[in-house]
Amino acid sequence: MTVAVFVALAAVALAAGVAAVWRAPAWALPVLACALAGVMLLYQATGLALVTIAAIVGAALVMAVARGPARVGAPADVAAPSGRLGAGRLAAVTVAVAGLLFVLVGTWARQFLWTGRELPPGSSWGELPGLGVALGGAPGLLGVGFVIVVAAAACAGPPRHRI
Amino acid sequence: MPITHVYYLASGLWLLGLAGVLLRREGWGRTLALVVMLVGAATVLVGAARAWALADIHGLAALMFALAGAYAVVLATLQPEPDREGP
Repeated sequence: MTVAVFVALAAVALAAGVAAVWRAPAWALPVLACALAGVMLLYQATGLALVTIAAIVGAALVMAVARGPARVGAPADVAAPSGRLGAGRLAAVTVAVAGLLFVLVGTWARQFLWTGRELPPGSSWGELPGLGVALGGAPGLLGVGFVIVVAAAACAGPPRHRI
Repeated sequence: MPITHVYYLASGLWLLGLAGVLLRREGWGRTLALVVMLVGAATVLVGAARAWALADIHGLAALMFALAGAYAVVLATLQPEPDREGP
């Protein structure tokens, strides 16, 4: 049952990823974040699921707002040529991605195929207080995150008018 | 839940993002593909944290998710806005 739920969530996440890469719609990132949050709940990472939904969905909302007026005001013939992909380019990327897929998935499958490694029943590992303690013990990471948030807030401000 | 499952999912997301970065030419699509790549990399950390039962890896994964969100916001707002006063 758990594996079936995981397969369903993974299928939704991969479909949202394909949609994001292929057509770049605004709804792809929120759907991807929600599916990944479900996966994290299956892996007992409840705090991380909350962080994921907050970060990715928040970013998707800001992106939709930032791109909304530009999309409305853009000429109709600007976005049309970008959707066409050359056959040679598509074949080269397919070969490269297939090679990486073989290396990555094959290596991980052989290296991390563990059985019987489970958390003890009733363990509170993965919940939000533990995540808070982990982040509190890494002030450097928190500093980097703070700089990122400040930079994002600065860039998400109203557009500057050029003379 | 086997650990390998989340690695398969992370691999798929990362490779999807890589294909998007290589195939898409406009900034908006490439930005979304880069975000998908970052999310895939952070998903690897979810599996690693579950395998070793280390909350520190969760902290790093949380930072990567925040980085992906902030990255998306910064690049989306840096896209040039079309000139609306043209003919």
